[in-house]
Amino acid sequence: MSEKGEFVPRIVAFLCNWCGYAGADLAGVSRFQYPATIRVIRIMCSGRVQPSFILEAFKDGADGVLVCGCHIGDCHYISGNEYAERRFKKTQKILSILGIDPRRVRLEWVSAAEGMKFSQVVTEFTEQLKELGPFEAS
Amino acid sequence: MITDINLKKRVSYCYQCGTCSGCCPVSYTQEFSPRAIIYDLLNNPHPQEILKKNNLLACLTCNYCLSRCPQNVDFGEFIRAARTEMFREGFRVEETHDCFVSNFSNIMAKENVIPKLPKDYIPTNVQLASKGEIAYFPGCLAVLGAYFDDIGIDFTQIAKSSILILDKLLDKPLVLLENAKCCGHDVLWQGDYETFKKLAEYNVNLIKKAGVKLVITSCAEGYRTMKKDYKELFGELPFEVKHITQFLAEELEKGNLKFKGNISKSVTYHDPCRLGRHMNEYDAPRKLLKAMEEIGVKFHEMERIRESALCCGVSAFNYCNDFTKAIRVDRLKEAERTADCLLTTCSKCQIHFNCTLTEKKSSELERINVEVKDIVTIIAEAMGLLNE
Ligand code: SF4
Ligand code: SF4
Ligand code: FES
Repeated sequence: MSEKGEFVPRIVAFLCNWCGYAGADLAGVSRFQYPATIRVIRIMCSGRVQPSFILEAFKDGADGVLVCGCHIGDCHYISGNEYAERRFKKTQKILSILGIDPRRVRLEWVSAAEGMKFSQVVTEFTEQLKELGPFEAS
Repeated sequence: MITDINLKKRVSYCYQCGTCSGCCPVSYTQEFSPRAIIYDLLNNPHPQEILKKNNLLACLTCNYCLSRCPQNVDFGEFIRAARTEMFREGFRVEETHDCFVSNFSNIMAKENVIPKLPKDYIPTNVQLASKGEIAYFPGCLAVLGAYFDDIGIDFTQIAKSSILILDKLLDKPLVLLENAKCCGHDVLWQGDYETFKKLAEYNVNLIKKAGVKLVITSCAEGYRTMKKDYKELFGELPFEVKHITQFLAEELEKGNLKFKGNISKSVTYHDPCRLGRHMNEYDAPRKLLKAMEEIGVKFHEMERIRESALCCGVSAFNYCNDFTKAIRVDRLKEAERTADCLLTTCSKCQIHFNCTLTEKKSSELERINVEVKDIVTIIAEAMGLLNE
């Protein structure tokens, strides 16, 4: 919650070292503005993100989870992001069985040159989560 | 603080004969001795250190030792109590799949999270009720199904078969507890009693609200947990719990269960620890399989059965490694020698077995040719319900 009592979502963002994280970095050095809603966890590749990581974030109080990796074909480890995509679909399915809105998670491909895209993704996702409201109370 | 007296009391009748360490399946594949743990615990003034030092993880809580112990020492129950004490001090079991099960159980335990059984788990041609006497409890089946979608088990068939069978036998519509949460078995055996309690409270309320008098599970763990552990938590429950094979064996005796068609399949049966040694139910599934011999099913027993059945090698998703994989391979090979299809009544056994079967093999020689299935799917097939 902000000072005005307005809901500020808490987002856990898993960013791959080679693209997502570099993209976020570029957004920073280029001074692109985006809401301070994300808590970044750097991972080597988006393929490392297991459904369990996303669940754990929700368990510990996140309102949304963002996963960013390299564009398909650009993964530093060749096909890690294809695994990520499959696992992500699985996670969405699990969330909907649990009765959690699958729009609370998001997978985006952000290259190291897409600082602008990164800031847009975070802004949009934050808006989306504001609409959905806090997770614990939903 | 560990209530050492409580823990010691559980094992104080041990007279160190060593039978448990001799028969424990874990002790075959690695250094592990329940007797030695008990010795240490009873002779050491600092039980905490003993618990920290010893391998509380390795025990499968399969109750094999209990079935042999001349002093009736319930080592599995002791391990559970010890893990519960240790959990409060920060101890965690070695959970596989990046703690998927404890994470989803924890989320499920949140008050505002209400799970729902997806549509593909429910047959379209049956009428179900939200209130009534008899209910089917699917537990966490769908969550497991969504996660373990690549090891060749059709989880939807387990729920669908159970619902179709029960619908066929009951004169009133079956209640489907589609908003049920996980029974809490795994978190309980991992030591997380608080989460277990939340799940249990929710489920008991759900069942009470639906006015249900008899809850039927298709999963051995759910059966044990509700029948034994919920009772321990709440005292007498206002409803009865049965495993589906028990219910069906009774119907068979009454002459209500009819098999038709022809299934020429050679099958064998794996006693899950939770139904067998934990709850002493060995006969119900066997009665059903014997009765299916009429329609061509060939039922063969493995060498190690009933009280002496080998565990599948993992419980509560704890300690899945090469040591326990050796146990699974051993059991699967035994099944392969006996029949074409291994039937069981526990979805977790199926997960662990199928995971071993489908994992990448270094050579063709390692391949084990046996199919693993849930007993309800073959019963539904034998009743002619699956193709209708
Ligand atoms: S079998 Fe029973 S009495 Fe014998 S060592 Fe084991 S726990 Fe003790
Ligand atoms: S419960 Fe099973 S795994 Fe644990 S000590 Fe006894 S026989 Fe061994
Ligand atoms: S390294 Fe970026 S997705 Fe694999």
